[in-house]
Amino acid sequence: MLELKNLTVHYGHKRVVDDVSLLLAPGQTLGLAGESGSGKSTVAMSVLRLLPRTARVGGEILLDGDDVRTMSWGKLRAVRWASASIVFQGAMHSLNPVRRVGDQIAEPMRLHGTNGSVDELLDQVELPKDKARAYPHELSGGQKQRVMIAMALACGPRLVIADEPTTALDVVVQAQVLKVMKRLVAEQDLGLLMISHDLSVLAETCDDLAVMYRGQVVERGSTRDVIANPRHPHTAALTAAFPVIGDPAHRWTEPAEPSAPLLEVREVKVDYGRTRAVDGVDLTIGRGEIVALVGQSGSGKTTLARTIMGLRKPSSGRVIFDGVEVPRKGKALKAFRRQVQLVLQDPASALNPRHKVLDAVAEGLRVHGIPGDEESLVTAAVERAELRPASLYLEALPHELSGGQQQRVVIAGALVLQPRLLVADEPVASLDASVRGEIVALLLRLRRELGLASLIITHDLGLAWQIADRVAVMHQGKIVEQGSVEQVLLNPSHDYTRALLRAVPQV
Amino acid sequence: MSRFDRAGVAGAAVLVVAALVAVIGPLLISADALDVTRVTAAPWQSPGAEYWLGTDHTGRSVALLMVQGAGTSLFVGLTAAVLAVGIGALVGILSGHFGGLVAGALLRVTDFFLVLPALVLAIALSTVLPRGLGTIVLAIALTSWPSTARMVRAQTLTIEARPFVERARALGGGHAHVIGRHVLPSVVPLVLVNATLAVASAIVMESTLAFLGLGDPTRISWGAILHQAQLHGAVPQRAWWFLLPPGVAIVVVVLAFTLVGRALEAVVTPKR
Repeated sequence: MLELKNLTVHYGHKRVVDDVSLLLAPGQTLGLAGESGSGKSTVAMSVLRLLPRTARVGGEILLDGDDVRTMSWGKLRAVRWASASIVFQGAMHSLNPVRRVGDQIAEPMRLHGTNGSVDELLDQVELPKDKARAYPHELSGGQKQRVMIAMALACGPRLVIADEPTTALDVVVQAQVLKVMKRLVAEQDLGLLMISHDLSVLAETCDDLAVMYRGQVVERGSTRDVIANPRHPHTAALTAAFPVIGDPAHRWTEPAEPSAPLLEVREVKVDYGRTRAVDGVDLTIGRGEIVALVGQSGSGKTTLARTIMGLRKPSSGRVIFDGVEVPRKGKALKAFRRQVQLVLQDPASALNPRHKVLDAVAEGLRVHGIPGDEESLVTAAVERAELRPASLYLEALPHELSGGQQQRVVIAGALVLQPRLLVADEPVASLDASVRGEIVALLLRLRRELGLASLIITHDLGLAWQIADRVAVMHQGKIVEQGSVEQVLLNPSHDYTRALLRAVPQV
Repeated sequence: MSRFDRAGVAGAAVLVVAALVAVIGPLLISADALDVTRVTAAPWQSPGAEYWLGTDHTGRSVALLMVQGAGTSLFVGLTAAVLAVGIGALVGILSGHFGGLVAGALLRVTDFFLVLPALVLAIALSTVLPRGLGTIVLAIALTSWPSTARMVRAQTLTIEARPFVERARALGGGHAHVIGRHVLPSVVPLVLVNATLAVASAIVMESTLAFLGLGDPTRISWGAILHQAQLHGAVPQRAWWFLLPPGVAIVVVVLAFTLVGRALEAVVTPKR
């Protein structure tokens, strides 16, 4: 049905896709895995000739035997959506915010003059009929993604291309969306080309897998084989990045000795207006201990972290650090912040684009007026964060660095103050698979060498398994279960923990 | 070079010429030439070899008046704009950064000045306060800062929402640190552009006030020349040379400032 022969795409002199050949039969599901910049989205867009004008496309793209590259405009219009359609990445940006979703689903049918009912499509993606009258902002992330799927199915295509359909959704919702897609593919005998950086998502939905690296397909085969016996080192790196919960090989942390508590959270409640975001939480982090705080988006885990940092005042309750209640303002709060450092999710936005690495890392030193040779302190911290030699990076601006390097700069900026606790909010969620492992290893090494305790906030149970000593599960503002990693993840006692674990895609 | 770049360079060239004329010109003119009691030429002379732009109702050379007036117009325009943008930036940053009661109070004051008709307020101020250059500058500045304040506040809010500001707070940075290291550097380009555009409107405002006879009576400005021309009947005398040059000069300089402002705007606004 879809055949790519020696597909090559250039932007200027840069070769983005290099000699890719793929074959997809009707009813077949093919996963295309790769990191950002590997060219996987470019391949997807080329199928419907959606690449920008500056792209030069070589090779053949055969859709039902016709070459998309040379198709007439009228023919291409007919092919788009009627024989192949796309579920775009990021449903929140791909839906028009000022039109009802029902009209948007109907749009391709109107353009192509096909018959069909919006109600039926909504039913297929398991949404109630009355949602057709909703505007995008009235729907949750998972519902919007299902609207996008309904839209892709509107003209009864035989091929659906899904470009990262579940990124930015949390585990439980991701599992629901994947279930819908799997069922539709099976029922309607669709061909599915699914693109993701997340191997476990592809393993869940696709029979076959192709791995892209630097524009080339480096490995191709049935999903099970590729994941079980990766032949290319890049595939191995990708599989290693998605830890299997319960597998001792993926448990990278060494068991820590029980230690005196460093941070204690007692009965903390935080309100936003009338909503109670954090509802009576007790949490303890020992010296040198790594605690993972897991939960869905909206469970209040980020608010709790902000409260611990003293960035938000709790409505009631106490936060005790090293035996002393955390001060709420003035010099004492400033001194406390030297001890506790924050690492944010998206390193690109956590660094001021106008500041050089040197300034970004030295910011903490300057704020606290720490005496000593600034440059040597910064160099030491940057090298601790494994950017070696530091002199190569100090003068760089953030946009000149990769995502992993940026995250190391953020970590170096925290380390330079010699903190005792690191609060990391989704530290690896926006990083590529191969970089993710390195950052996790870095956090563990810092604990070993500096005795640095961490609170890792994540929706990713695999990360918790990899790195943490203890896990606390948060649900609707409450901690519903906490204990050692083995106990919570292997023998969960609370229903919500079980639901979270069930939702994790299995390789 | 894009269209904006070329237009911007042309505007900048005009401004350089205007600035040179305003600074050097008065040094070359003897005081006698502009003293009504000492001029020798006949009044209402049309342009010719000796008087390029003719003479006014007292026999002074209009060309020399124009040169003398350039300095006043540019000076008032620049200082008023700097003052207005300064007040605007300060109010904008403070209200954007602190929020809450401070922002509420500052914004209500801003709104108050925003809804007052600028010209009426300026006229009222320049009649109440003692006449002089300072009064005009103050009147213009007080009426033109609110739009800058609103814009700077919006920019401050977007910067404050960025994670790197949160990181700076978590590092222990106080208000001064966040404003000085993060907010101010991001706001400055916007403020500069705004200042350039504000100069243009300040010059127009100065000319308007002077034309209405509310300017500093002891100084010549382009607006004041227009005022004189209107007062002493340049129209019935058909003395177009007395009316046209100040009008055209105002238009050209204001256009130049606008072009430069637009070009700068294109430079400092991030692509995408």
